[in-house]
Amino acid sequence: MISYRIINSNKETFRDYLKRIIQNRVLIYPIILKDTKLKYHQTFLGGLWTILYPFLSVVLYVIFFGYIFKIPLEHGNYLSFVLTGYACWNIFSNVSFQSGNALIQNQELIRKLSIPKIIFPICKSITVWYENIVLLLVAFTVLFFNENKDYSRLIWLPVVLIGLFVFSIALGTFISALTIYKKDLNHGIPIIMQALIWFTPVFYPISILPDFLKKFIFLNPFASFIELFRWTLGVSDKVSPHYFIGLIIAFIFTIFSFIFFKKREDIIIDYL
Amino acid sequence: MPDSKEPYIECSNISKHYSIQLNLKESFKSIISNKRYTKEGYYALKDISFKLHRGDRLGIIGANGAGKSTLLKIISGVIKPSSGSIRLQGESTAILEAQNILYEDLSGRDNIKIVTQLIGISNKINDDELNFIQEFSELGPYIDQPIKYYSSGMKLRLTMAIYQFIQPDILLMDEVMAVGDVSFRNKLIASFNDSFSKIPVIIMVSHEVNDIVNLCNKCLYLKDGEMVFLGDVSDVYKKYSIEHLEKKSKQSIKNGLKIISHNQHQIKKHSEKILFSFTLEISEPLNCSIVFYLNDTRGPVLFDSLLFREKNEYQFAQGVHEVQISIHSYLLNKGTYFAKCIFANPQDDNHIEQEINLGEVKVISDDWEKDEKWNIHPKYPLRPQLEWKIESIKQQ
Repeated sequence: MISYRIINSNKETFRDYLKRIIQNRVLIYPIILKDTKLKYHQTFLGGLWTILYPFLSVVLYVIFFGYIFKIPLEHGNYLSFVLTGYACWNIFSNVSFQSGNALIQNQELIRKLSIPKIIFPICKSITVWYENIVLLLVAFTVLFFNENKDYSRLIWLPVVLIGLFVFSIALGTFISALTIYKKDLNHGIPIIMQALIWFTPVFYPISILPDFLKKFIFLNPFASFIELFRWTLGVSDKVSPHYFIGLIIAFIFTIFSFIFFKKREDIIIDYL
Repeated sequence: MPDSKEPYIECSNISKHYSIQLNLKESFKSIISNKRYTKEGYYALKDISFKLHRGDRLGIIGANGAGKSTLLKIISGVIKPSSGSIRLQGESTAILEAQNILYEDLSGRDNIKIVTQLIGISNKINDDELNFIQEFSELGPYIDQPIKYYSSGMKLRLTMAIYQFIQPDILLMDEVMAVGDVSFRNKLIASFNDSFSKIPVIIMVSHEVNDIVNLCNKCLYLKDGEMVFLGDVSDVYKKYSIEHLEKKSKQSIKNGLKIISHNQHQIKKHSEKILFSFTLEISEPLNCSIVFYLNDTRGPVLFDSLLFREKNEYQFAQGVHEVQISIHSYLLNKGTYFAKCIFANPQDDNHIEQEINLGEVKVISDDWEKDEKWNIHPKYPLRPQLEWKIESIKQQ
């Protein structure tokens, strides 16, 4: 019995597409290796640059908002609050900044290999996680400075991290598929992220906001993930059930961006 | 178990249609008028069908924009066809290109590691293979330098070394021969007998008809996205060259000069005279100079020849004339040669009035030469019979 491969104009089913992504997973490592090597070639500090930026931001937030403006917290100290918030936020913002280029950077490979193109934004997101691993590890140290030594919530940490991971991949996938059409997004993303950080409880707690603004914050999936992350690490005491609205939005967005990318899979090559 | 009777690749009615994108004004119009306002677009490929069996080497020829590369990309799965389907037995397909496979900013070693994984050679290249590539590419200590400091020859050698490991089920080569220098070409041709010999099917695109004749057994001739001819390599070759000649000799009536006939394809032995002839119809008396050129398939002109040595000019009277040019025997080496004549105005040497292609001649070896060793590589275009003299001066 001979097995055949068929190439035709029919749309690939989602099952076949997923199967093909899993078949081509061996390519993820060399693509990431290549991207990282290209990114840091001929630099003296190399990967340190990715760590420097978030740590500088955290230090500045602690100095200005923690000591000078004295933002009131319900619970815990300000350093661990900013550190946990910024660790998540940095992943989101890095994924958003870098995914726009994910397909364009690899256009030669796209023209040569018949692999599902969603691999490239996935690789970008994994690269961002790998670059932020130090920041995340530092964020975990807040466990030792907490007032309550109740570590039972830690069992939720893997769930939250996996959720964060999947959502960041979805974010990257969506942005890369959109940027292909019009490169405007490459310029727009920094502005959007700059605005969005003010509507996310990264360096201030939601408790100091007026009520009408709180409603909007609950719609923000970034906020949900950050608050959940803080809760599992014991930085905040409780999580408002309203944050689950954000999680549902994140879930819908994840499904949507996968479908969105899949629909454009075949025509991406025409826009490169 | 792979079956050798079943076709390895079966391509049926492949078409690729590209629609032309509407610009802003037109798409606005289509919204306002509530009609689908579309442009027709064009077919890059139309109804391509062929079957290849295990062991087949297919060469694809055709002018620029004939759809050769598009066809390769469809077979490799990079782009989808608009209609039709391809059935393949092989699991893996690889496109071989001479350019753009290396990353300029990475070192040679990193390039070997990454590129071999990306083009699907192995999951992880081991030290023996790395050493082999290093030796094959003759890079020596430069292997740890970024590729951008390499000479283009070094880059090609590295590329070639990486390709020695390639073992896909279907290998697609996109105009690889055109880029490399002579040694790169020779290495690549050698790989056909060596490391590529186990690959079930190779499909190659080339401008150079000669490469296809040498390396392939089947040939597909594409023209404007349509299949003109498919079959055994020697048949297509004839068809291709004739069509090229016809196209060129169509532009004829100019300044009262009309070419009626010329010979097209001849096969001569080394010891035979080669004769080119054509017939001219002159409608008004014409004073012009004629230059004869001979090219070989590699491109450059081998020599030119003037009508007369003293004054390169001929007074054509009104009427029909036959022109014959003969090349004496034992001048050309084995191979294929193309001849052309140029008619020029004697007052202005640069102004070419008319160019005629006189067709091609294939020189083959004489019967006695066939088994001789020195006849195997017709490296040089000329092998003239010279006057030799051997005398014994002192005998013991």
